[in-house]
Amino acid sequence: MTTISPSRRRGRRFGSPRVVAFFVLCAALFSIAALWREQLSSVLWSVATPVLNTRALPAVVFSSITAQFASKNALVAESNALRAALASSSILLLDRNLLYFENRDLKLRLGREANSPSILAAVLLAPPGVPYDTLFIDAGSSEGVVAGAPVFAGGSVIVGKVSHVYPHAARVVLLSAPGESYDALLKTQDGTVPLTVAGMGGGSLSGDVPSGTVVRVGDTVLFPGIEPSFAATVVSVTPTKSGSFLTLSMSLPVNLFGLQYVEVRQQTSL
Amino acid sequence: MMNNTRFLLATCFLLAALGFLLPLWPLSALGILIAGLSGRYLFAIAIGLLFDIAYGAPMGALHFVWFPFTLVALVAMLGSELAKRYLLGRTQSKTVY
Repeated sequence: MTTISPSRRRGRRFGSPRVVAFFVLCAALFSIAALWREQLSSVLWSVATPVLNTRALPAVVFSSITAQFASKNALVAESNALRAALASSSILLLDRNLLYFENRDLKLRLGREANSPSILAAVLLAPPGVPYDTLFIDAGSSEGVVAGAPVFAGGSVIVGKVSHVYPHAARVVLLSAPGESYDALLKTQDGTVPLTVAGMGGGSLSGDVPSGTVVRVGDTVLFPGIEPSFAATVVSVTPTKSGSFLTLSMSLPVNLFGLQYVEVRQQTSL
Repeated sequence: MMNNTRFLLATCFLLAALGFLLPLWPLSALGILIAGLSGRYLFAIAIGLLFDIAYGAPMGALHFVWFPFTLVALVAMLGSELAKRYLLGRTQSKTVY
């Protein structure tokens, strides 16, 4: 039947079985995803982890075939390896300064041994591959990873904490993730100043200290504890408008884009 | 299924999968956006949900969005419907009022 009534026409359109079926299906999908998000995520990562682990395999095979033909490629690879070595040396050097201060302080007090076991994990996804300043690592509950465990880039350089654990994978929220904030200590040459660091996204953090504090670019931010956790480096110091505080811009001491391995500590003191 | 549809779905899925494997998440978002804008709504929503389940909820101020990739699919769907209705003129009635 042909109708000239706009309202009837509209009603028939939205009431057509196809549209209704579409909305019902969408609602069902959304409900399933919302209700069983954790379980579905766990299943999904069980499938995705082996796929992401084998991602590097074609590159390795291809490079072994072409290596004998291309000396330039070998040089580029060597250059990349040296860059990676330099980056890890930089981290170790930062570690060294931290350990020096720590050692000096501890010598003034009674010694206490603090050494918690750690789990080595490969980084499956890191920014910019994954949004929201998170990492996905290939160790999960089967390997002993627990939610809330601190994650280190190597040595005492902390990068984040585990937020979700799957059987063979885990999601790590970086310290620099937006909305995250932590109580920390700013280690200056004159002593330590407590401050709250807040994640700003993209590997950067910010925090305020009283304006009388002597802060220099390159000063370190630590998490308090018997085992040192080096969290960030000051990259710029800006006075606030009122002049009562200094706003510190900080960055994570590691290059997130080149992060290949992390250590998950079994302590839960972050 | 028409060849055109098949090609489009394959392209969108390839973009989304590449975004996951490379990894570069904007590529995945682009795949979802193209699927939504080209009228493959259910496919776009399904892929969006899949990525939201994989990547988890956003951090910080946008944490309340909860399903951002699905939201991209819904926005693309809405955009496509509005474009069809008001810009492309495909649904204009031929009935004389």
